[in-house]
Amino acid sequence: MNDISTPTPDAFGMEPDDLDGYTIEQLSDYLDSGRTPVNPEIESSPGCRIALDALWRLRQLSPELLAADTRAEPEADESWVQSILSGITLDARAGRRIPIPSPEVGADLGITEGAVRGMVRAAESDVAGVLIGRVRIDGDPTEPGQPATVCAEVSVAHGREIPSAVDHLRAAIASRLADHALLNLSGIDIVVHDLHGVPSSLGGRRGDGIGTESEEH
Amino acid sequence: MSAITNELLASRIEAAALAVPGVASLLRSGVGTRAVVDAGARLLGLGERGTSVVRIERGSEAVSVECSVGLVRTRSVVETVHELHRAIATVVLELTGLPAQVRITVGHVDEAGR
Repeated sequence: MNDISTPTPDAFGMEPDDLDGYTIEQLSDYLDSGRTPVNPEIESSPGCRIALDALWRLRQLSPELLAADTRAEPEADESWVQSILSGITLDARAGRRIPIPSPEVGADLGITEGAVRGMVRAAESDVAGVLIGRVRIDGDPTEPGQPATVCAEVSVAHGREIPSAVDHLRAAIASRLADHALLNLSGIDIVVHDLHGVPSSLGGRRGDGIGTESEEH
Repeated sequence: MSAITNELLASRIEAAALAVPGVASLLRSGVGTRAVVDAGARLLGLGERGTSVVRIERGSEAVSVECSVGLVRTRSVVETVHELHRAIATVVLELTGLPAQVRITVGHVDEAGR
């Protein structure tokens, strides 16, 4: 079992500097406006771009999911959405710089941990009913060749077969990372931390740590 | 050849970078850095508009270039940054006659088609 720390309750209210001076609410408003007029500060900020990508995907998925929640419960519990938003804010931080080896003289190439987390997070669009809450890279990816493990904390739609969803997500993450060969990936751990769309008649509590699956490559 | 200004060199590097397949955008390195760069530019009377996202430092034997980029997912990140490095080094050599020390950081990888 893997111990992925859950975002703290106040994670949603992080300092604006975590997103280059913008809050997740401001980025949401910017998305509402169709990203027009173009805000060069937002568009040139790596953290904001990662957060905008994740917000955009969440919006493609969430209307249907929120509607399902509303049908199931008179007062839709949006805590799972807030959990996802907290994860987006945290994961958009640049983090460590992962080196990209080069045979050329005078080349110092790298990618931020935040960018890699964003790539991992994007795999949620490949698997129906799965939303990624948090992503973590364990190990020391700043040392070339050192093994690293990707840990993803996810929410799965009620009614979706969890083992199948986890297998598909693991394959999607592995495929995305393999395309770029950025990490010496030793494993992908997926923690199903939450269910969404759980009917209240079934005792629809969320965030109970439904299950954990881990697989070594 | 060495009389070229840093501003012009930066703009040429930006253009060359954006011409590399797979490069979507040039990014800023962070709010702290941005604030420092902008403040420095204002002190020099350049104003914020003169601030490039490409940082350049000239030495007697080499030119140091630093930038952060956004890429698209459809092309290998590794291939793209290698080609980007070569493109930047070529521009620096052509315009200054000096080799380049290039530091590139990928800050964002965009989903294609949006």
